Amino acid sequence: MSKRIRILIVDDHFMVRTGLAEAMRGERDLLVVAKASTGKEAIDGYAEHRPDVVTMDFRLPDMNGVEAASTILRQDPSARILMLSVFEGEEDLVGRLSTWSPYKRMRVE
Amino acid sequence: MIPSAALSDEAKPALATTAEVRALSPAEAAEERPVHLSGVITFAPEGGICFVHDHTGGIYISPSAIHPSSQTLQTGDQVEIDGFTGPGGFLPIVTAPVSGAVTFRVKGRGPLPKPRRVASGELENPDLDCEWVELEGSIRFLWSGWWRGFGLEIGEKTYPVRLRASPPYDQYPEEWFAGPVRVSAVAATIFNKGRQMTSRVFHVPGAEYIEPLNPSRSDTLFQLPASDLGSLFRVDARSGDRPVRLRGTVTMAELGRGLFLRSEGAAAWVESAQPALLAPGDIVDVVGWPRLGRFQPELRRAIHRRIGREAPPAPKRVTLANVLDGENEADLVSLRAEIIGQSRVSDGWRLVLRAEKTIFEAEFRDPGPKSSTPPIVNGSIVDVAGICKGMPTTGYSLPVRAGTFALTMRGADDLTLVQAPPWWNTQSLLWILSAIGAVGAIVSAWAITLRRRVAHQTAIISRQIEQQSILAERQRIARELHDTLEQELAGMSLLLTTAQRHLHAKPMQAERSLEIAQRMLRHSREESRSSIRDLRSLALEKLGLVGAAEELIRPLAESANIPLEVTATGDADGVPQLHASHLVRIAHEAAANAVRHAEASRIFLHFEFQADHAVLTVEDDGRGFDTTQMSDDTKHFGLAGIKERTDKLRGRCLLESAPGTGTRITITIPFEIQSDSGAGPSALS
Repeated sequence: MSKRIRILIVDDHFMVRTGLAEAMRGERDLLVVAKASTGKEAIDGYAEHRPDVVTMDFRLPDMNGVEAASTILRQDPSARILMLSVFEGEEDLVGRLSTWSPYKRMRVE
Repeated sequence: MIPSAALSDEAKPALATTAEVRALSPAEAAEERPVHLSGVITFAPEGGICFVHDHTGGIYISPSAIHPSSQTLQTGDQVEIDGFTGPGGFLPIVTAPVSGAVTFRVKGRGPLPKPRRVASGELENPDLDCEWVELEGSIRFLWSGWWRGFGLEIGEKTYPVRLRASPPYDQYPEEWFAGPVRVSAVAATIFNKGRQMTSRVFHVPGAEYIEPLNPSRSDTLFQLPASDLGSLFRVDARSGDRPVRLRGTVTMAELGRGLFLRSEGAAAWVESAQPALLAPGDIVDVVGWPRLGRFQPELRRAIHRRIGREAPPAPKRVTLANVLDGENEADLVSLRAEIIGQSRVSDGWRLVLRAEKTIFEAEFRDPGPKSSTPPIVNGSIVDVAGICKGMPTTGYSLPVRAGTFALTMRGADDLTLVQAPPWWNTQSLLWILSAIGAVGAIVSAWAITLRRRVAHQTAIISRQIEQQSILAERQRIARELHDTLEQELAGMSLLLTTAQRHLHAKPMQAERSLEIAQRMLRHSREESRSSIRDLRSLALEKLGLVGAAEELIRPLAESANIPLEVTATGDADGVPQLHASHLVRIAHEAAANAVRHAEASRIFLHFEFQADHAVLTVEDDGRGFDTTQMSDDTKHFGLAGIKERTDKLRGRCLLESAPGTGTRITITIPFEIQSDSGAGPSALS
């Protein structure tokens, strides 16, 4: 069981969080260890749970997802963070707001 | 076959007597049958009329058909006539085709036929048309028009009589008017288009056919002893059945009708056809037959002789009461009155005047140009003189007092200006009023223009403001949809995808996902309804934050029969619009949670407004729950929604509850200006 990938879900909307959590719940190799709705909760949650992967929403009430991810990356450069967005155009902002590399784009239908 | 009309024309000889012509039907007469008559002219052509008699009766010859050479014909000429029948308008006539003429051959002079004596009761028989008749009657008055003649009183009626080749008036013998006359004339008929007689008229071919029945009567009459007007019709005098002689002064004369006489202080109307040309001031002897008048005796069928002349009589100065009582009937009077109207009538002026409360008319002859202006302006006070004639009051009443009266003036000189109308008379007043009105209208027009321009500008400005607020509101709604609906749909989409994926392999997982999705959908629908209600409602604007929250929550609590208490401290006016609407929604969400899940017996709502933040406390005394079990969002969408809103406003949400202790939610919202960076679609552009 310890082989499962531990995940922190960050999204400001509870329905999106729930949806994501449920989607992952059905996968044997995924385990949602925590959910966060703000950037601060995300940073605190990462420090607490040290998840293997963070799914980060771009839009958060207290800071944007790039800021939250950058903070996490400063504290743990090995952190793996998936920036999720359902909106066209938001991914461009990631490139503009961050200096991350490598940075990979994926499109999921 | 030869046409029968042509045959009959050939076959029938010319009609030889007037009786044969008269016997034709109008249709037969219209066939223009030839006529050959032999007779005597009873009325030689003049003014559209010509009559011929033979031994069977009279006939009318159409003057338009008489050849111009025949215009020298004389009454009494024996003639042979060739012409054609025509239908005429009443009886058939003798006429000629359009191109032809009726020809006369004068055979000599012959006596006129003996006139037919007709009883007065038969004068209006239609078949008397064209007959040569003898009449006896009295000349009542003279006609004066395009032909001359007189009204002949026969029995009860007076008939118009035309006199051919009338002598000048001053050659009319006095004896014609002193008593009855015998007149020989052709009876003619006035008829309508239906060939019906409407009245009778007689044509006298010359003055020699008028003969006084008593040739020397007038001299006898003028030898009667003089009477005075005041003695007529008194109980001690015989009047009415014998003529009387009066001497007096003419105040006014009407040619062929009579004269107004002033005699020894009294006045009277004297009806007389005798055409002596009298003028005011002429002293006359008058003989006539007394008759009852409205206010006093009159004379009728009178003759007169001028015996001298004096200065025209002066009008008698009277009052309105004198006039209405009939004291001055037929006399020349003068009266003070105001002119209230003037109009041009056919041959003079008619004035409408007012004396005290009585309106009366006055007329005078003025053959001047029709466009002449009124003699005196309306509103003037004048002395007006004229012959007074009382008018009956309306309806049936004994004729003892006049309702009003009329004055017959001798001329424009009978009007004397006493006082010009004051400057503020009706007309001037109307002028002034219209001037004021015009100025007022200009000012109003200017004011209206100004107001319109201001209104126009205001409309533009308010439209701009409206457009701006519409724009702001649209952005707010767009953001709201983006923040909620879009996210909710994304969440549900994830769940449905999950359910679909596990449908066969892991039906339990699929069912769980569907169940959550279903609850999400329900929550989402409630949210949408609330949003729509918020958009429609003006509660926040009308009632303020606290009032709007209470209005939203109270029906909820009442439907569950749970007492609700809402309190507030501080001033809600400083709360920004966005924060206010979120606070209302949070309060609603929290109260709804308490109503639905807490089994509470009371719900408390308290707002605390500070300068830079607001605190909302929602408390119930229900069953409470274990807050440590809150990590699973899926159980408490209501609380999740509250937290989400609070997060969005960068506020804090404190949930205090334990099983059996009730629940308290404390929301603290700061009023700092929200940074939109990365938080909304507007930042993406």
